[in-house]
Amino acid sequence: MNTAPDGPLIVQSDRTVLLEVAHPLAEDARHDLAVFAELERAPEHIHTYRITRLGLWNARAAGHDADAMLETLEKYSKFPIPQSVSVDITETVGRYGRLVINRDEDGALTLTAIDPAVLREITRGKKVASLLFERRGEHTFVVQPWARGQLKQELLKLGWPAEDHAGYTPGTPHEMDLDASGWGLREYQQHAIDNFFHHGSGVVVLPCGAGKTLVGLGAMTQSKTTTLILVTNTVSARQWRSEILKRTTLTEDEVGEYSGQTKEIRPVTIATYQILTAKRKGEYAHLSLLDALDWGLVIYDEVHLLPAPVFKLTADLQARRRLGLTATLVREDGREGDVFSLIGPKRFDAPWKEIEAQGFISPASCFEVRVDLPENQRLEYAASADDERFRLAATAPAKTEVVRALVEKHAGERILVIGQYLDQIDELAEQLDAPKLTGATPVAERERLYQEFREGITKLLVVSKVANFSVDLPEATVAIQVSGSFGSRQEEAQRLGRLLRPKESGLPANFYTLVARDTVDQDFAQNRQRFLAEQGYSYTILDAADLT
Amino acid sequence: MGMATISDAALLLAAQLRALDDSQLLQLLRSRVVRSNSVSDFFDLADALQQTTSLERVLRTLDRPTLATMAVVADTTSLTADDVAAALGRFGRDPVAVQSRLDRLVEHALLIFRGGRYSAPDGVTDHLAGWPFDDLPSTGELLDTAPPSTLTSVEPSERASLDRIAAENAFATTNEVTELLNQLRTSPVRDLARGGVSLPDSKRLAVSMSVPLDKVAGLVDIAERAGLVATTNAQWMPTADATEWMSRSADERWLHLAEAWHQGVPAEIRTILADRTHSFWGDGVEAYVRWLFPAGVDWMLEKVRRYSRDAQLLGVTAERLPSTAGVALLTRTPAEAAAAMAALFPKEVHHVYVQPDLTVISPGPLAPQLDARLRTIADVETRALASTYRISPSSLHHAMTLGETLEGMREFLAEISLTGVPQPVQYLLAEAASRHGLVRVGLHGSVGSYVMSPDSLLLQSIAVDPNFAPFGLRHETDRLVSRFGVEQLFWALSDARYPVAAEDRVGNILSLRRDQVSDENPSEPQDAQPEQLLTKLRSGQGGATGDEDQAWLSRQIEVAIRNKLLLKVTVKMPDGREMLYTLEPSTVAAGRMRGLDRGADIERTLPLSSIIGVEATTER
Repeated sequence: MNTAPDGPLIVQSDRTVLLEVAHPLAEDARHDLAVFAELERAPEHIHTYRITRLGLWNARAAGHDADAMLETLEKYSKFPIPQSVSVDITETVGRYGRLVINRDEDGALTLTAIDPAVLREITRGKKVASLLFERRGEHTFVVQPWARGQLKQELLKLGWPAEDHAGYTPGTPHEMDLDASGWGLREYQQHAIDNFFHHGSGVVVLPCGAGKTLVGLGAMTQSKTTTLILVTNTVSARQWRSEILKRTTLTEDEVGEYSGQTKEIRPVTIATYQILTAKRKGEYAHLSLLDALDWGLVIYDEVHLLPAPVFKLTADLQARRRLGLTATLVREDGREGDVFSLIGPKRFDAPWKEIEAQGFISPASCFEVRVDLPENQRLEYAASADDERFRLAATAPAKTEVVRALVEKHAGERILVIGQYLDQIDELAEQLDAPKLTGATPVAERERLYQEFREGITKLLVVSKVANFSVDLPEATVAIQVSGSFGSRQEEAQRLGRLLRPKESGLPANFYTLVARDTVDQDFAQNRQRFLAEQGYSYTILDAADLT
Repeated sequence: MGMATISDAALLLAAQLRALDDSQLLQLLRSRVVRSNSVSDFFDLADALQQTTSLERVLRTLDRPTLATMAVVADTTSLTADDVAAALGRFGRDPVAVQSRLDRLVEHALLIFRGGRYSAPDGVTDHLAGWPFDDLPSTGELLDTAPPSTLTSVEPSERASLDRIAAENAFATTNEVTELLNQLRTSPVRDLARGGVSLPDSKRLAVSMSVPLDKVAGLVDIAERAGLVATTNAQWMPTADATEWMSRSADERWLHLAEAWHQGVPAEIRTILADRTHSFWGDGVEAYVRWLFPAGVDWMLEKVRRYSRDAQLLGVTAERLPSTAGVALLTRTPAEAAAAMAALFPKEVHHVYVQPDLTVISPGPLAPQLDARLRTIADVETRALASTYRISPSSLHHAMTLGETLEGMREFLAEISLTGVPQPVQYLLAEAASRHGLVRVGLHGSVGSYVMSPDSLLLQSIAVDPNFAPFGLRHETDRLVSRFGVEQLFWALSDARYPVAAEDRVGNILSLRRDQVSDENPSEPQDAQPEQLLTKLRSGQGGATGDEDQAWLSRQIEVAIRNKLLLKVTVKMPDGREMLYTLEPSTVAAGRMRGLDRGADIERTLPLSSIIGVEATTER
């Protein structure tokens, strides 16, 4: 097939694919491309996708073959596809499914290869060999009963990902349904659930605010079995619990929390990663939780934050259905391969902006506000050593006035002020006469403050990093970041996630970051600008003087 | 007069070398690679040229017909050109070719030409005599072994796909060489003594150019061959020609590289390749090279390997078969090759997307002039079919140091942008422009520097900034001064993100660049050794007296003494007559030679100033 001379895609030899957004065929191309390429950056005009091995295998796992993928590229590409890319796609995709894990009639796990040469290659290494038990004919090995997860991990590392058809334990049946009075699953959420069930295990990727929790609840009520939900922290556990009680037929007696504070085991149990990885005398102290009931479904919330030890535990849970939920497959530790092997391939992915366009996420505008330091602070900053400069810039008192101006500008809206330094948070809370919320705030107090904020009793909260993860504050429309740490991509995504949830108020969301001019603050701001603009948010730089 | 003996061949060779003009001699010194420290005159040079290492180095470059010509001469004492042609059999059919080979061998000092006859220096004769013991062909084998048969022709089933792959490689390589020049311009890399680029430098280049490490050497070779890079002070830099080349369109740039490649291929190999435009390059070529260059198989194969590699990079071949453009280059005209390639190159674009994340993306290869200008404003982030540039405060600062203005940059971006200039970029431009040059650096005294600024707070900040402590800045009226030079201070301030500009004595902003360009003409030699040796040889002729001929005379006599040779000495008597004596020289000192005249049985002492000629002889 010939390429389209004016197509919207440019396929580069470094495996990136650029999409010209304004092109009339851009939407079609995006739809077809997203099947096998990961969206890396989505600034206003040109989006960058990357073709990775995992992306290709994810697509293959979903039933797409190399010819179809190449056809997509050729159909929409402006220039000829670099030969190295087409060869690589064919070769990589061809590796998936050459090995299959099955269960024989006696219940033993087997590894079968269509091509005996592949079996020879993989058994050459000691690691894989030690996971296999006996050879049966030219094409098959019996797998050690405990090695299903580990084998998949090792095979992926060797570049021969196995398809797992060994099935799942049904778990203990438990009756439950969605209580869909006054609401319903959105179409894409149902689509995500269906895809997951069709394949048995895997990851659903949805942006913050697009209703990942609802996808989890939908999966639970469809499987109607005992379920273990693993979440990042206690506050998040309580939110899951309240969502379950609100949106399903399950009652308080059927939903347990297994955390630092409470150790309940119920047909639906919500546990934190932290408790699962807690050690006593060098041993994991709560491992028994994993076998406490015959779980038919395990849900991993924020799977991109799954701590490394949990992977190891998950390797032993391969007989149970596993659903991963996340806003991004990108892990700061690069262990995306383990998510693929142990939780499963990606089963659903919706582009952020597409969901936003459907109106399920409120659009957010980002503003960088440059704050001039007064003379004495500029000199103090100049005379400081490099390691002190970050704190001096981040906590510059000049920022307080700007926060006040922004709070006034958005009077009546619900506003979060986010800081990194405790004394700065104290100072701001006092100056703004607003409650503060930090790591030291007891859980009960935190929940009360969040609740008051949701209800609109409190409209302004000064929060530290604690507020960053997995807390639903859908009513916030303004976030003002006064200081932040070194701005990892995750942190920015989370921070913005606070604002992206659908707004009942109908107000647009605004995200401000305050930056001390001509300081290292500005360097970090540059990274932030890059990240946010790459995510497709509008980004504007303002002078503080124009606000105050 | 008898025939020259083995020992007096050294004298003859020395005389032949001495008679060369400077350019011929220089060429010889280069081609034969003689170490200068062991050579002080033409006799030493004649000796050095007959050392095994020197001979091996030159013989490996000679093809079979030339080697056979030399061997035929070396097998006898002396021959005329016609004798040589007659002895050469099938290699002797073309007298012009035979003559040209003989000339080349004389140029290389592998044969001596005197009185219409050719002879071989004893070192050469001895060396060739040892060949059969080193598994190299004897004279007979050189003459008789037939070349390997030619290859069967292969017509690629999918010519279009082959050409597409070739064009993809050619386009990538052309852009990568452009990128190499851009990289070398700002940070030259060290040249290794044995040639090429060091591993750490190669790694750095590979990363900054986003190419595989093993491609760097090929790109440097291609660029060097095309006269686009050269070494200056042991550093690889772009040549003055590089700038003009970079401004050409991709197909024109490719043509220049491909032509240079073609010209660089040794003539014999070029002929083979032209004959094999429908055959796989590889084994067949290798067998032929083994036959054609028996004394330089490894050396020539390595060359062929490099040329084949570069042919692949340049799209002259793809999958070991010549592409349509490659065939045109090898057998027809460069213009036809360029036309074939240009048709397959992606079309240049003249517009870009300027995005709020400060990236600029060209949705295809950007026209070179636009690319060059954009590069002054933005840093290149990825370079491929579509390139990404990134605007930053430091890139704008750099642009303004080079003379760009706010209006100029705004206009340029607005003109090439498909979608306008987004607010964050506008803000950055305005901010950079308002601050540029707020801090000025200039020359203080003869070597020191000063920093000044109308913003006293900014100046104070610099004064207390611990980053500048090493510069020992001190206040002097309304400015800071340092004993360090302007450039050092300028770059330190610039790296620390101060809005600095360098100025001249009257306050005009100067454009300081880290860019560097090689001042060497690439066609000129990079190695100074042959020139030094030439100077040494020529100055050795004159000796302390400045009398070149007399010094030469003394050296010939000294060699005769050392080798116990008989000399025929022609002496001009005070009355004007010329006398010929046959002498056994014993000493030469204080402007006189002493020697035994066996015929007259007396010892003669002759003033060197009266001797007008000496010649070795075997006659008593």
